[in-house]
Amino acid sequence: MPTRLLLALIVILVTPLGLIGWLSLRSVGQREQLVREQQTLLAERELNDIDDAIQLWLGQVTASLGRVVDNVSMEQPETFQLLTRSRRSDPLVRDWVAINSQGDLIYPTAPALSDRRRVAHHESLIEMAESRPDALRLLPSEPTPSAESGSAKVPMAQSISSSLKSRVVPRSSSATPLATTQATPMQQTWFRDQGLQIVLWWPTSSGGSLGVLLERSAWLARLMDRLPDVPSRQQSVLNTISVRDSENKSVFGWSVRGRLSPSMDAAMPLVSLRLKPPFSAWHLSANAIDIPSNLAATLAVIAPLATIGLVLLALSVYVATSLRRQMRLAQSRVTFAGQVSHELRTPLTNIRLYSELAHQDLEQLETLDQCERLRKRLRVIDQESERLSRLVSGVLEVIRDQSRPRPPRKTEEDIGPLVSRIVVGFREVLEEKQIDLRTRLEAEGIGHVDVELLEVILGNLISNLIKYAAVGRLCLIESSMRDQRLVVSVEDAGPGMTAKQAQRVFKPFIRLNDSIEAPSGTGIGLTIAQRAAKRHGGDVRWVKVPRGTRFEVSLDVGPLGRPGQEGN
Amino acid sequence: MLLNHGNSHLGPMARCAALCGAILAVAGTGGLQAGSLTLDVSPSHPVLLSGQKQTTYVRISLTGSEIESDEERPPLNVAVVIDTSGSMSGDKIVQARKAAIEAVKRLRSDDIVSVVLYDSDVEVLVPATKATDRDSILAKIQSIQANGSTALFAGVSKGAAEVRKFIGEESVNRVILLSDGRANRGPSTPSELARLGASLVKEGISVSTLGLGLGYNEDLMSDLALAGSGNHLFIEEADDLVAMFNAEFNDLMSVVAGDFEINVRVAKGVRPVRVLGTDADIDGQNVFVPLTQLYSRQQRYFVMELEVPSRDDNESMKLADVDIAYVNKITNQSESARSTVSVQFSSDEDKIAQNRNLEVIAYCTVQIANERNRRATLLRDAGKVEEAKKLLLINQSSLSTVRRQCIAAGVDSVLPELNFNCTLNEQQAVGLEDDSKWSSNRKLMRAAQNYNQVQQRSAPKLKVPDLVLPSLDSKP
Repeated sequence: MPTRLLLALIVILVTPLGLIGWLSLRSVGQREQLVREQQTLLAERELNDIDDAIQLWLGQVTASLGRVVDNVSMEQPETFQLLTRSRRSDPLVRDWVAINSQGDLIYPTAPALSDRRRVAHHESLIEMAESRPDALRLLPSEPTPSAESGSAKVPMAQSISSSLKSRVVPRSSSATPLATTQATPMQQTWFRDQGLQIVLWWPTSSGGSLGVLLERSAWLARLMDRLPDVPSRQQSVLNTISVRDSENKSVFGWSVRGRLSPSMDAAMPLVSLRLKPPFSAWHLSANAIDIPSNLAATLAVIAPLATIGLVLLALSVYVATSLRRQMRLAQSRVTFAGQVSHELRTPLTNIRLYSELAHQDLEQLETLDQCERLRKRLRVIDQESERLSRLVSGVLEVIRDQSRPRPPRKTEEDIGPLVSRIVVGFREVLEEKQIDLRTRLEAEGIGHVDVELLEVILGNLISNLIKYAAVGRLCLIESSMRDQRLVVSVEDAGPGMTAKQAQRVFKPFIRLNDSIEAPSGTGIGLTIAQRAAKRHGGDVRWVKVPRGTRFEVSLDVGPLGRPGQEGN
Repeated sequence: MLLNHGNSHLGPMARCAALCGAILAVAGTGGLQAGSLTLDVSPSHPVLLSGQKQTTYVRISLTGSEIESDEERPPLNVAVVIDTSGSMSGDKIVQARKAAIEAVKRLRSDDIVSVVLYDSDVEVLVPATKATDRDSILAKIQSIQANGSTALFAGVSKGAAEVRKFIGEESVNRVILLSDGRANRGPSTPSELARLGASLVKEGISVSTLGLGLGYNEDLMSDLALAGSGNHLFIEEADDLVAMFNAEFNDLMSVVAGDFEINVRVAKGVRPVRVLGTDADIDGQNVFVPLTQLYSRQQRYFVMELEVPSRDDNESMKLADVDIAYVNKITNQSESARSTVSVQFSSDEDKIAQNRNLEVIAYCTVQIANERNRRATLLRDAGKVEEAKKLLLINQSSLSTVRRQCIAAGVDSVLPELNFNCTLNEQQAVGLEDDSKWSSNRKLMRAAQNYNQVQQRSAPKLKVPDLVLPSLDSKP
């Protein structure tokens, strides 16, 4: 099968498949996108639930600490024992501090100077107290100068988180609302030691304030505890979750074991949620479980695709095989025609030989009327068999494999007489059709010519002329030599043709007029002439003339000898 | 406190350490028997020199009563937290599995156990559950594999969370951490872990740490155990893991009292300076001493340093009232005990010397030496080898002085402890010079410090000594 045909088939097969495939992939992608969005939503909801749980827990802690605050009176230092008790028993309490209306730290009392570690800790508590939210200082009595200078020395303002600043009551507001805020303490975030520390502050009615420094390690542990345990797959869409600190380092988390390849830190989380204050420097991040590969959905996409592909494939195989069968059939027909033509040649040659012998025999007979008649009939046999033999040669020329042309069998010939002999051979036929033969044969010299080919070429051109341009009643044959080439032109005065038509006429089986009225013919005459000329290293061209049609044959006949050489 | 026989200069220590077990059996003399423990509060010098301000020591000693049988002991609520980071792979994780399995097999059916694994993530392998369904717990433990990094803080937190689920006054609540590595995920400084331990103690959960091999951060592990009121054990060879785990469980199963509140009200005029080796909460005249549990037959003591004002000859003075409240874990009832400590003043130095309480003095010396020992570790860390060595030699000489006095006075009960510490300091003075063995020696040192501070009861598994110091082998 020709490659081009195969390619065409492949294109027919692949294009629709590709199109359908692309469309289905797109729909699968869209479905995945949708699922991912839903997962993100679910994961966000889970993280929000965790955040809410943390806030709820913080609320409980705040409430229980608030109960301690309720029972402590700044005026009765003995009630500070409650603070001590709370510090010793409450795992979430690191330290309590009490600040009086002058801004002085009155609880805890300073330790003995000899205990350096406790002194250092006490100093850090003072520092913490100095960096307490500004709202706590908005009290009837002005803060003492010492407290002011203290906070100026320590650049703690920046350590108070921005979220907290926004919660701070503006300075312009009066102090009265503070009494009502007793239940909900102010949250202070304070970066010290290993990082974020949380301090809760309650303003007291006397103008002082109570603060509790939460035990960082304890609330961290509780924070971690608020995260769900590694889930069974039905319960949660999450497959990894982690708490990350202000530096985005994972502090705690889990992944469903065996399902997460690299470390969580490397992977981009699907969802990331900043925790509500006071933990707002921290965030939760999570990844969802892999989308369950929906086999049915994938199959629903692939099945029709595969079916269409199979159908197309079957179709193209069918087309390809039937095409090949038909081509083989055509080929065998051509082969058969060729063989028949070959077979025809032998009897033709014999007929011609014997008609020639009959001519010779007739010469030797006495002149009789009957003899003359017999001669005439023999001539007809002669002409017809010549025509037949040209036809056979032509057929063979056409069906011969174009890609492997047979080289011409050139012989050294005197061109002038050769051309005129061939032309003269047609005189009788032309006369019969009442076509005026005019010649201008200027070609001369010795050249290498395949006589049979030349005969085939000219024969076809002239018989073409007889068939289609007899109305012009003219056959002008000219010959000349041009650069070792023999140029013979055959011109008629018939209907002529356009340049466009001239391009087509050389193709096999093309007849300009294929109607019933058209003269009988196979439509291969010009094809034969051209192919023969090409084999002879030349060509047949259509030349535009004002009236009729002119075909010009040019043949390579070199190298040329000089006329007369042969004679010597 | 495990000794490696490979360190020849540490060898002799083993001999006296072998006697350590004996001191645990010695109950305080003349103490106050109350429920599951005996309280004894004694001054180091019942008679003080008159006419001057001075520093003296008071020992508060608690001795756990004996448990008759396994049926009697309080139920356990224990979380085993196992490091499954990459460094644990191989023999270590195999031994860890084995140790955990042995431990679970020893549990009673009303004990509660949970297993938490941590590497870069934390997984609750066995959520807190009664030990009735032992087979499935064991099967889960069998499946433990090691890989990843080390989220130690989260592991302990999660372990504590599991214990918290079934926390009760009647049970012994403990997190046992087994790690061979350094925390590198989440909070990972010794102080953060110590704060976590301290916070858990407030809830009644104690934390024991088992450091395996030479790669773990001993500061972190020992500080956590110290603050967490648990044991800290140094396990150099994975093969010893099962035995050490067993020892830890022996301790757990012998708890007789817990949820302590030890309040010392120091008399007016007397100033509480500190409690040696313990992070006591001193608030004015009140001293609060944290303690999570007392083991059967354990003698747990605290040495309090007091600044006593000047008094006249023959005057007497109350130094402090000691109140303890605790839960008797055997009867599961709240109990309390109270004791008062007073001193007399005299200008007669001989009388002072005669009356001094050598037993208390010995324990004070041990604790003071232990503080110096800790300082020596820090100095060695700072590269000051000579200074560190000097401190250890001071320890050695002060301990041997007291030891000689005790021998002369026939106070035998303290000798094993003195011998042990004497040898310990002497060996460590040599041990800290060797850079190549410092990693191992440092862990040993920290473990010994913990042993002294917590008066850990876990009988350490000891190797055969290869050298015995003759000077310590004498008893007149």
